[in-house]
Amino acid sequence: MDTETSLMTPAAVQVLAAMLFGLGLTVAVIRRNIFIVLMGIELMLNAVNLSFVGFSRTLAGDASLLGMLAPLFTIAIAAAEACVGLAMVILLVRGKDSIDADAFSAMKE
Amino acid sequence: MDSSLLWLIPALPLFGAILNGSLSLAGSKDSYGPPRGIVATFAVLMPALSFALSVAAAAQLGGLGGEAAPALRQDLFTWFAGDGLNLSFGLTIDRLSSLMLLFVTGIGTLIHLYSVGYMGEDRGFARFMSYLNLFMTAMIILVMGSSLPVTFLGWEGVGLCSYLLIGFWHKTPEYADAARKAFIYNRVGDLGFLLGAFALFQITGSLDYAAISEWFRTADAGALASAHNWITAACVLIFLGCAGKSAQIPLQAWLPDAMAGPTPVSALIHAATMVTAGVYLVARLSDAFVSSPEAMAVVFVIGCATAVWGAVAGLVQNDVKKALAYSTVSQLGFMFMAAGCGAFDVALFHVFTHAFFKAALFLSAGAVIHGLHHEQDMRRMGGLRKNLPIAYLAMFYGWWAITGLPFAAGFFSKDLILERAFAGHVHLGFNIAPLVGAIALATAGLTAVYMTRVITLVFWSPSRVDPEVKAHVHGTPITMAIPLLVLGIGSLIAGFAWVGLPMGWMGVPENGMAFLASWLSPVVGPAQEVLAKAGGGEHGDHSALAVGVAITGSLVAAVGSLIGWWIWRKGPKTVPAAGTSTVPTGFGGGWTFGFDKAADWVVVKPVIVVAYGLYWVVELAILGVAGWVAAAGSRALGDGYALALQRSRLRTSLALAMLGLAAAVAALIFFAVN
Repeated sequence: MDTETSLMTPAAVQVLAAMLFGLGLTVAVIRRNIFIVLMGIELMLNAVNLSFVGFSRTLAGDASLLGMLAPLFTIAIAAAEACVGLAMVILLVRGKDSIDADAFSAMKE
Repeated sequence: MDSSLLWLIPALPLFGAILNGSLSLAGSKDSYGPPRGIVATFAVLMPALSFALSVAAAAQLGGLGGEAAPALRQDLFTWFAGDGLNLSFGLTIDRLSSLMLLFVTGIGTLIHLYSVGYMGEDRGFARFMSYLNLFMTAMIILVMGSSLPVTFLGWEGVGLCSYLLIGFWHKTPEYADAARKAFIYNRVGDLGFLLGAFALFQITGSLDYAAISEWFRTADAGALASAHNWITAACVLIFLGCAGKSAQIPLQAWLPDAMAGPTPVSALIHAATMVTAGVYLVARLSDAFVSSPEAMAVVFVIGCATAVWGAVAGLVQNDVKKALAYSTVSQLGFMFMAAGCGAFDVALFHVFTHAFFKAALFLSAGAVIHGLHHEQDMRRMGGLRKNLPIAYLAMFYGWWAITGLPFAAGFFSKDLILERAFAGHVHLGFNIAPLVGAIALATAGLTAVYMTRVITLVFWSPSRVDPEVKAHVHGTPITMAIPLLVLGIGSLIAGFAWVGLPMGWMGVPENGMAFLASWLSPVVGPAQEVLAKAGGGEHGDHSALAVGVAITGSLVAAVGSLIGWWIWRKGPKTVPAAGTSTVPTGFGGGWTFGFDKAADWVVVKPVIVVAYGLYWVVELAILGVAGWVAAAGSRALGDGYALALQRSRLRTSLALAMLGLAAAVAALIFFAVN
């Protein structure tokens, strides 16, 4: 498929990434189920990866290489982050017996 | 052998280390540990194969005599590449590294064999052998590295293994402390190594030894003069690294404490191989060092001071291993003294002979300690000739070699150092050669005294061994006896390497009576030429001086030995009870440990003062006051206003944080565009 003439123009990739990022952010902010909040954060991370990969196609030279390398690091760190995050959530849920993100507000309103 | 096989020399012991490490982990649940036979076979076989390959490489190198700088080189891969710096992971065997490699792998193999007997009963035998093999890998990389970073890799590797092996019996807190002390002292030196390497790169634009030497050999006087301060700084910093690794003042205090490790470790790492890495590096960079008379003077003065200090401190030790450790410090001082005089080949020759006799001395001390059920206090030994004949023989040969009595190894190497010291190329503004020679000669005499004290207290004086222990002296197993005898005989004949008798088969010595000097001359020869020219052509005929020094040196050694024997022939005045501390007391102990006190005052106490300062100033004064002001401010505003700024709900906080971030990014883009 000839990618240059199709709908997958560089700008379209960035727009898609921005939309996914916004979607993830919205999920993280408005949902109260803490597991869904975590999924929203994962979506935001992957949207950024998509943006990097998109730029690696548009930019030349070292920047292109960087665009391909950075997601590798992000993926590795996201894996570690998911691990720690889930462990924390499990401990929190055990303590409060609730998966409502608002249930963890310990400070005075 | 083909130069594409060079990687096998470090890889074989690495394989042994991984294998034995895995066996050790796999057998950790078992009360006896992994099978001793398999562990011992692989642990000894791997360094032995490395030794065989080193011999093959040296033989091939001997055949390459026609070239200016014969070398076998293998570049394994590009380690890092960037603007102006392309570094390959290269291994080189040239004349210098082949000499080091031969005795590192040869003596290393013997000490591995010895460890099978010495450590065979230990629960951690597989772990021990795996560390020893790993040490061999690191030491081989250090020696074979064709550039400073590759050497640094090995340099750090031997430091790590030294740490692991000093603290091998880590359940004793003092041993773990000794391991940390060695590691931290070496870290100080390593900083010097790194900074020195950066400075050399700044000067020459390369980190490769061949390129660095080439730069210094071909640089014109103007380039050398304009870079002079950089060169001095680079050499002094590199020497700081060498002082850390080779236990020179002011970084020498870790080596005596390092005797906490098992005796084979003291013999292999803290006597024969690792601690001589500093001398190796100075010789490797001899072209840089001779370009800076100031740096040479530093090397020389530190070497002299350490040689004297080590010899005197060795006189007051009660622990047999400690006495040998201070002797090592002193002998390393001798090597740097020779290097500082510009006699790099003689320094390396002393490294070579010292490896034999000090390994023999340590291993025989180990056989005595093993025989007496872990007794290390010389005051509780004596009269053990009949009980431990092989250990006695090895220690006797080692003693013969180190005192410098005629025709053993030390006689040749030490006399050459004395001779070069008297002939002197040291530039301190006036001719200090006679003074230098006198110091060296006096230290050689002291060496004879303290070594005779050791052998007298252990073997020649009347027995003070507990009769209970004496009735059950452990014999010397065959695995320990073979290395003892080989190294003992080696200490007798290693000196003839200078004239080339045992190595004659590698090629007829070009230079008659100086086989080793001509063997090493492609590496260190040009540097020595530079000094000889700077010394005003006094590099004439020294044969009269040589004979005079040989006779005087032998006389001093004989007199020193007689004095040592006379004073201690009846043993010590008092024999302490079993388990008494061996730390020397009174004045002798006080000044010996002066360097520990100095380190405490110069480094530890200032750090504590700074830490308290930070606590008082930053923690209490600044942060405390800031917190107080914030609290007072919110109180003055009233609860409502302060609370209005606070969101307790997680999701609201997240949304606000994201908004803030978006605003910041928008502002950045706005200012970047305009």
